[in-house]
Amino acid sequence: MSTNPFEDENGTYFVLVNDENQHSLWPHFIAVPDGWRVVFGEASRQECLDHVEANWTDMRPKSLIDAMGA
Amino acid sequence: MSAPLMSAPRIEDILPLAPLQQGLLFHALHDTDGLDFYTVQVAVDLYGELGVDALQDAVQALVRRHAGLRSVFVHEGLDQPVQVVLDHVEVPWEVVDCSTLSVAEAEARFAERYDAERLRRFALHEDVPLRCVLFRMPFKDFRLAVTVHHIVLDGWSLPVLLDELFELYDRHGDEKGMAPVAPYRDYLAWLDARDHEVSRKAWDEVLHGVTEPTLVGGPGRPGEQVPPAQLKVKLGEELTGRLAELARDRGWTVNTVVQAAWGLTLGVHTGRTDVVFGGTVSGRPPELPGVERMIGLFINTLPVRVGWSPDDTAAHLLDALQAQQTGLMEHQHVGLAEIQGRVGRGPLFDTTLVFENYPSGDDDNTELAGGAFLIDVEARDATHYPVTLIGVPGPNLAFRLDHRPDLVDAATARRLTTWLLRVLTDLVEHPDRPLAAITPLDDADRDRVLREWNSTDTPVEDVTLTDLLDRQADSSPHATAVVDHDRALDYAELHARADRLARRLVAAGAGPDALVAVSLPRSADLVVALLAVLKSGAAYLPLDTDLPSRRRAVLLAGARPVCVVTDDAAAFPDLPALPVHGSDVPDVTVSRAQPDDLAYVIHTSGSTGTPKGVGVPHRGIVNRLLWMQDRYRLGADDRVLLKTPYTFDVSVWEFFWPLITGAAIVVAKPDGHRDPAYLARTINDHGVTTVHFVPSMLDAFLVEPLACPTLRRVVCSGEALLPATRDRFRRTYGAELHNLYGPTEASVDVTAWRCDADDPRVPIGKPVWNTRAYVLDARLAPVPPGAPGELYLAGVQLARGYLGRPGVTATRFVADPYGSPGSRLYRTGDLARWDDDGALVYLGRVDDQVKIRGVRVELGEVEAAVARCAGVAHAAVAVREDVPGDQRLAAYYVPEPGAGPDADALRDQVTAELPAHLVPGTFTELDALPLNANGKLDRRALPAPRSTATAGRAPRNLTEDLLCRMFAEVLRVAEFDPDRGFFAAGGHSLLAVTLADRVKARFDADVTVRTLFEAPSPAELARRLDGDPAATGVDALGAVLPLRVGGDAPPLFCLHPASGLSWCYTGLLGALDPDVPLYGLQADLAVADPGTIAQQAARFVGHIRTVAPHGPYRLLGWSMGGHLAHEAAVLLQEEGEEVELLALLDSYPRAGTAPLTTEEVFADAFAGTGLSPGDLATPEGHARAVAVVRTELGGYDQTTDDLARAVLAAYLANGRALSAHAPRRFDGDLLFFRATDAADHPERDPGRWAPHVTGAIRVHDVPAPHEEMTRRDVLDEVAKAVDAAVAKPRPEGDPR
Repeated sequence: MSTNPFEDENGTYFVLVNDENQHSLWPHFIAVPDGWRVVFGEASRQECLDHVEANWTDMRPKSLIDAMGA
Repeated sequence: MSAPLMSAPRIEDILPLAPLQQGLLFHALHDTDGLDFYTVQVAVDLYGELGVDALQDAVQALVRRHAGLRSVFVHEGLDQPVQVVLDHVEVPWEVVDCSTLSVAEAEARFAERYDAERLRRFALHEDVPLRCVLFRMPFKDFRLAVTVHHIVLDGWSLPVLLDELFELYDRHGDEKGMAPVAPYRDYLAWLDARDHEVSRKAWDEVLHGVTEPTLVGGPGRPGEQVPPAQLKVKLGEELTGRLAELARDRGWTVNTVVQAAWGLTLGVHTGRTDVVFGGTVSGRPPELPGVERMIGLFINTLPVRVGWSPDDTAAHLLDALQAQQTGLMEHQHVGLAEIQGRVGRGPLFDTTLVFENYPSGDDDNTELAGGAFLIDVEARDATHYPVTLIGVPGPNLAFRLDHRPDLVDAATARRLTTWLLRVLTDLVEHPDRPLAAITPLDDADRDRVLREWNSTDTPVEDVTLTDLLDRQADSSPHATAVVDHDRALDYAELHARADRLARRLVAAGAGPDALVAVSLPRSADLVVALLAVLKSGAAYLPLDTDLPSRRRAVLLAGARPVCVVTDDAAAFPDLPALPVHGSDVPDVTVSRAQPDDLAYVIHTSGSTGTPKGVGVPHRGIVNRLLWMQDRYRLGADDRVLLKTPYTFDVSVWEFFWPLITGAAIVVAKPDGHRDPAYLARTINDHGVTTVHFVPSMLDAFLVEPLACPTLRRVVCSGEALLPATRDRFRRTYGAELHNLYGPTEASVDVTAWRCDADDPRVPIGKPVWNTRAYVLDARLAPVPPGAPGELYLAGVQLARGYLGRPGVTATRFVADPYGSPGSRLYRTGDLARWDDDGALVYLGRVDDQVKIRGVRVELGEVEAAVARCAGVAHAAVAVREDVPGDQRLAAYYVPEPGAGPDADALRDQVTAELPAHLVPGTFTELDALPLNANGKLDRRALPAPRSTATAGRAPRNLTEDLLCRMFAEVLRVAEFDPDRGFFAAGGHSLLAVTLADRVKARFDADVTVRTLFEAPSPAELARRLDGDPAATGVDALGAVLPLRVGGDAPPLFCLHPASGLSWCYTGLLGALDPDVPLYGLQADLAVADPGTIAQQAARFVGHIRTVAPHGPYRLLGWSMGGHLAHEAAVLLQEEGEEVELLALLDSYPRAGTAPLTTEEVFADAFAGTGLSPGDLATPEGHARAVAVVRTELGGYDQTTDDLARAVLAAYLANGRALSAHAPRRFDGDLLFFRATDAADHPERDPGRWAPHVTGAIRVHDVPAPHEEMTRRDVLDEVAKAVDAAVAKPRPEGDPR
């Protein structure tokens, strides 16, 4: 099989985020799906993962965080 | 007209073979039955006043002109085959008169005969490679059927052949005046003059970096070869015109465009972007004069490599392909076998593309001399390839796809042709688009795979699992909820207990989205604990009770639970630990969880060495459970077996499905899930209706199936369910069988299939409620039904992610291009395809993740643990299946320089870190890890693991000894420590079934897999067997000592040496074919005088015939046993029985004739021990002799001094008997094993047996002195030689 688009160590990626603050690595050559926005990149895979590790610190969906906080 | 008398043909010429001719000769010689694919046929329709004799004359004239048609092919006794041109031959010719039949009858007669001609193989070494049958059809029609072997003619030759045939007919068979034919010899000379080295290099360059073959055909089924099935399609005139125009404009040939289309089609079929197939070239060198008018084999099938990047435009690919083809034009003469040999990966392809640019079949009526007309020509031929695509140019480009129905099914063939036309259309319409946009997926298919097959929307209540559980408890408080052995809890009691514990948990900090660890054995209390965690609002984190402490620490540090429910507080020093039962009921406020809060966290193996905790919210598991209830309808009278370890997510439905539906859980005891007999008993004892099995465990369950009348449904998941398992299940049980699939990351299961139709497949099925499945390519584009791709999942069942691992989560849970805005996809790493009915078929993994008996294992995680061990520089782990069906983890390590960690030390270290299912069974030291061309670990190149020696102390008695050998045999190790447990040594349920069977057969005792759980070591099992009055056990002193029973082959009987005992032969069990039963025959030590050798042998023959009433017999004996065996063999032959094998271990007829005295026997037997015959007279000397005997008997506990004394007496008496024995004559061969010290004794000469056998004496020298002939390594050699001697002789030339 061809390499999976998310597993290319030499590829460049974006970091996407949706309204629930869920993060997704995203290959630069594929159109960004609706409901997601680019928050980081284009950058190397590792840089993107570092960004996610640093910024996605609460993995609960945002709506749940809001509800619990309310 | 009468044919002239033919004289015997003379040799006109001898020629070598062209490369492709060699290939065809190979196929003709290799498969001698059924159709020779390279039989070509042409049927020519004629009408009118045909001169039948004139036509025959024309055929003869044709053969006179073309030497190839009168060649035979000789290979026997030659280094290289040759073609021998004969000066004249008579072409077989027959006229079949169908003129008086009806048209239909005539056609049927023709078809029958035409097919028969096709199936009648040419014997190429003697047959004329051409034969004709002329059919007289009704109404002045004729049909000429020409059958010819491809080795002398190719497709391009056919029009030449027909042209000439009818020209010769017009000329009344007179070839004078026709242009001379260039001889094939010229072509061979031209071939010879090529610079082969340059050509080989050109091919090397084109094929550089090809790592795997491109195969479409499945594995072949044995059986006769059948003619291929055919599919015909046309491109359409309009598109054909545009294709021609485009090719002309861009400088491509139509052939190149078709090659690109076929390459892209194969890419879709295989899921790759680099494929190889065979392209057939005419092979006629333009510089060879007259080549176009030659009849012969010139074509060649050569690799066409099509590789691309999806970003490239189609035009880019076509340019590259055209350049490749042009560059290779000079090198088309190299044989395929040679090219493939240099790549070194076996056949590179199994599909070929033939572009016929010679005219065929559409000839209009041609008038022949004398008022006959040529009406129609139809040719048929085939190749051995599973798929041959034939392009037929014309105003409407046509394709014929020939496929071998035994290797390629009709659906695949249909898909390939459909895809080819769609891709070709795309190429013609959009040559400048990127290849990523060129796809055979049309809008209808796209709609099916994205929408139709994923239409799973179903309204589900917005509730939590806890809500559903409480609701059920309210509606059926007094129904039984949990059965744990003889204990039962009703819903009210279960919930009351759970509520109390929940309050204590809340007091300890539990609440929504917090985690509570649980570490309990499987029991009713465990059910209470999990329910309590959910009631506290928290999510549960299951931990194995026997987890290595280091592993436990890693999991706790990652998940940070607020407390733990356990009976073993000491294991959790840093965490508040609560027992299930406590007296306090704190007054706390309990907050309920919301649907998006987590319900549980289950860990899965992580590729980088750290396990990943998957957090699953209530919403996902509620969807999964309600779908399951809707689909399978559990009722109040249902009972679900709880048997999956609760650290695996299958257990989630085992716990909670019954508890939300009013059914009951039946708790299997810890470890019980691995014991088929226990499971069957539990199912029957408690009326279980619903059970989950990992398919390999279902296999084990079906080995000795017990009736389970209450069983209603069996749910399989975890690994591929094979059709064979399904069939066995359905033959045995009437229950429903369901195949489910899903990762922990998507709430247990996401697809389901009910195995009830007579469907050859077992797909993983269709998506469950509110779940979508996508099969996508490397650009996340959907692939068409039938094509492989990676499986992605979407919908409400997706987990929240990996706890505390946002980076990894963001790579696996990714944005969904096909769902509602902002939704996510889970990337499974599994390969799958859609079948045409919308069922998904599982195809394997894209990465190194493996499953061992249903449990997910990341090899990277195990590798990391091995690499962390002291003294290890590099490590690799692979799954080995050296015994079919027995998958095991094998570790390989390269020590650091100067370090020498041994396998046991490594095993201990790894066991301390990893849960048991991740600990490799073997640890093999390597000098270096095998790497592939890219410098990555080449797992396939890892050697078979070395079995780690597990020998400890010597067995205490014969029972132990036999058991150790059985354990070793089943586990495929050399030796087995009597105190080592079967499961600890890597045994698993499936092997346990085998072992239990063998022990049961040998000891005639009630031994099941369960017995092996209760008594897992040979020592424990031996104690049980010896204490079991029902078991026959081992009568170590019995006349017949069964060492191995069962097996289908004739048994091997071993006659005792002078000691009177046959214990020494147990060593044969190691290497002897496991199908051969083994018996020792022993003297009655209670009898003082054993009698003569002949008397003893006669007694043994009686015993032998009790075990095996008739031959063929196999006999073996060491030393004196050799004489007994020889005499017994003679006796059996006298009784008219066949003796298949007589094997002697260093046993010789005596030279002298006078019988020996006791003293002489003693001196001989105790030579080298320092004991003299006189010592026997003193008590001290006698005791020493007894001690020597004891040692020789193997040091079993049962070797008492009394026994040793009896053996010594037997020794002496037997020695005397032997010295008085005169061997008779055995009719047959003798297999003889000679000891190393025989050379020092001239009287020890196997030749002395010559007067006593009629056949040959075959001598094997073994590396041991006489006394050590029954050493394990010697008996291994003996066993192998015995196996070889009794193996059925194979037909000559069979290389196996």
